[in-house]
Amino acid sequence: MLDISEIKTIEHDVLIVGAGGAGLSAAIEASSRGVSTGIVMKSMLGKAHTVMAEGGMAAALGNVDARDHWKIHFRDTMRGGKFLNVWRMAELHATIAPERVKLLEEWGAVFDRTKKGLINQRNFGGHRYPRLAHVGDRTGLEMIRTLQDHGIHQGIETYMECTALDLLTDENGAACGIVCMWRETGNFVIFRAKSIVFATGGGGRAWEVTSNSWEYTGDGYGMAYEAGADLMDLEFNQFHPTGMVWPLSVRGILVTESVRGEGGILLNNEGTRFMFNYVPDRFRAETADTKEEAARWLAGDPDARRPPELLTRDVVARAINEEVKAGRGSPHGGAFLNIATQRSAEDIKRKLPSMYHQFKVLAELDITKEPMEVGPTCHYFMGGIKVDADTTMSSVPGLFACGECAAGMHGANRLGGNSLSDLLVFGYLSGKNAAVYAQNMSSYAEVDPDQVTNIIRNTTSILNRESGANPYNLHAELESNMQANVGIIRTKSELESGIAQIEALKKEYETVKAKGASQFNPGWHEALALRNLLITSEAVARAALLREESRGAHTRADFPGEQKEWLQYNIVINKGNNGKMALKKVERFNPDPELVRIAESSIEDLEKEIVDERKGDV
Amino acid sequence: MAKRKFRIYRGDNAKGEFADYETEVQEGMVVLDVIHRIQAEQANDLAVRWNCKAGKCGSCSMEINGKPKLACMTRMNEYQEDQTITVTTLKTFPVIKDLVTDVSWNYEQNKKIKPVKLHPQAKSDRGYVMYQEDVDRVQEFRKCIECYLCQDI
Repeated sequence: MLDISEIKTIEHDVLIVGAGGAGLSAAIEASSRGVSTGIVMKSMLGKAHTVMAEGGMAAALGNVDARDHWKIHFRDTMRGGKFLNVWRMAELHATIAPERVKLLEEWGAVFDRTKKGLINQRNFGGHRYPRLAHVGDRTGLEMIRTLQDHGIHQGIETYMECTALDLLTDENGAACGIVCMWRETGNFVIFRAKSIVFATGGGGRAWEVTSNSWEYTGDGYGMAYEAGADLMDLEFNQFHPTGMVWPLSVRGILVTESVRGEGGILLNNEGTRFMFNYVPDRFRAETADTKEEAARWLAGDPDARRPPELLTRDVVARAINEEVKAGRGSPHGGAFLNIATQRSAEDIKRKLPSMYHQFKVLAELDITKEPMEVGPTCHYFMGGIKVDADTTMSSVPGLFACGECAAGMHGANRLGGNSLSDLLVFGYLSGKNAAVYAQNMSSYAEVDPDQVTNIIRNTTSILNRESGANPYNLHAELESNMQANVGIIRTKSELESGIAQIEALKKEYETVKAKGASQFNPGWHEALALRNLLITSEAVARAALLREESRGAHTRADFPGEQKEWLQYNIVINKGNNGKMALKKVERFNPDPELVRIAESSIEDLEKEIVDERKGDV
Repeated sequence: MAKRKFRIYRGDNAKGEFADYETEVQEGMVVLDVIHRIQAEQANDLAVRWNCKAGKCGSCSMEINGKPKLACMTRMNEYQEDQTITVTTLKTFPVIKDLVTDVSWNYEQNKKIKPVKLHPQAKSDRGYVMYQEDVDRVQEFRKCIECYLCQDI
């Protein structure tokens, strides 16, 4: 029998799970408010997924085009999200992002500069103006290093290579702790906390072709679901249009949108610049209709409209998919992305150094001379843990969520560059509100030994059983199922078959067996992550089946086009009383009429309004 | 497709030995791909660190045929087809298990690096004013991905 008094217990007012941009931002904010703050992470500090972000962080600083304003950023975000975003979150994001980016600079981030010495900003899909503060094509590295360095000087306690297993809740169902496992030793540790922040990222590892690292197994979704939290919008999974497609072993690795932001064009195997044929009505008035106009835009003509390659990711990914299906794809089943004809070799190496290096080494291809082959890759979850917009608290009291693992900010489709700024803004809000919540609590809740025992028993039984399914094989089966049946284009019959296969995999998972001992055992870690990945996959597939329309990143071949009726609802998922997954259509809040007015006004009217407003300020 | 031979260190700091593996290698594969294949098929508990698989995070540092390298950026075609590829940890660091080392010294050093202080006079209401030619050099150092390969001497 397990004696839980022998397990080490660590206490923090605020405990954060995940040390990417969101988790570190939350930790910095919480500890700056004088509460004891700990942060647990599956990897080592500085290695989280944020480090892979390339393009930049979107904020209406107006350094490159002074016409920019939070209202235009907000409008772009809502249109990109197909108006399903939580309005208040999109507003908070657009208004707070500029000050958080400037604060990051104060903490030591060295951004690329404009000629006047300000933070430089680049163009990106769906953003009206150059808006992404960036450092070449390694913005995520700059962000995580800055937050890491700033955080450790503030006295945040870091717990590296420590896997969170499940939440502990008190008699009222509030989060009061979490059981974790040290990867190095396989030993368990109990964290008691007054509030907990999930910043656990997404779940792209459910697909075969993904830009995500091994960490992206939907841990936050799985743990929150098991603790009774609501999940929302899980049907919206962003397939980034440009992942590498060749060689096979690197399929899915991200090719930054900055390639298109810097002028890169997409071609099919007939040499046609096909994006001109895929401009949605909503964006027609703001998109160039000739190559000549697109070229003028690239040369800096303020009156020229944006090239169609910079349409939102959902549109570009579907277009590449269509071209390949129609037999006009590249030799390895993608499209050609060419920057070589658009920019000088020197410019490419300066603005896209890691892309240059990545293709040179992994594909033996010189992007300053030849086009790249690219295709859609699973990249980002718009959905996740349902949170209150202002406090970021989930439906489980004391559990907060921010970054990719939280839902609402991006609606049905995220704009590139809005993720890094999301991490800064909502990480900050989570840290602040989790600290305030902790400060209002007089003491730690008692830990229920039965909960601890259950969590540990579930974890160790994977090692202890005599024989059973190989976790790597189960994961591979799940990946090919999600790729085939819950992919970029969805139908009822495929989704139903996908769900049936997930159900079968859940059964097999009950007998999963990790060979070897508990010390640094990747097979065991893989098996533990699979529990969360299966919950995530099931939620995605069931939500995708229920939403009978095509909106943003969710495309149903059997229900084309956006349906007005569906704009009224989010799909909310939780664990039903019978232990089965329960889905419901939940009516959305009525938005602030002023926000609706901003989002729906024409760009000309909005720009005129801003000019008038600014005149009034002088 | 070809069968390729691998020797991988299995064990901890106190004791261990090289284990031999043979596996199929396809065009374009990097050493990390092969290690993952061996892990999935033959050695489920083979410990290895990795994250981004694109040379950006600096997690999969190891010695490949005696040279410090990132396994995710080392292509199999750098080696002869009949050559056995030997993989060990970076020898600078104590072994935790198999290909995973204790690099905590670096995090101790990290704490000793003083925080940045920007010159208050450079601050404007639009943020700090710094010119590209002045930040070029600083940016070069900030490209460090903390892979610690350079410490493997």
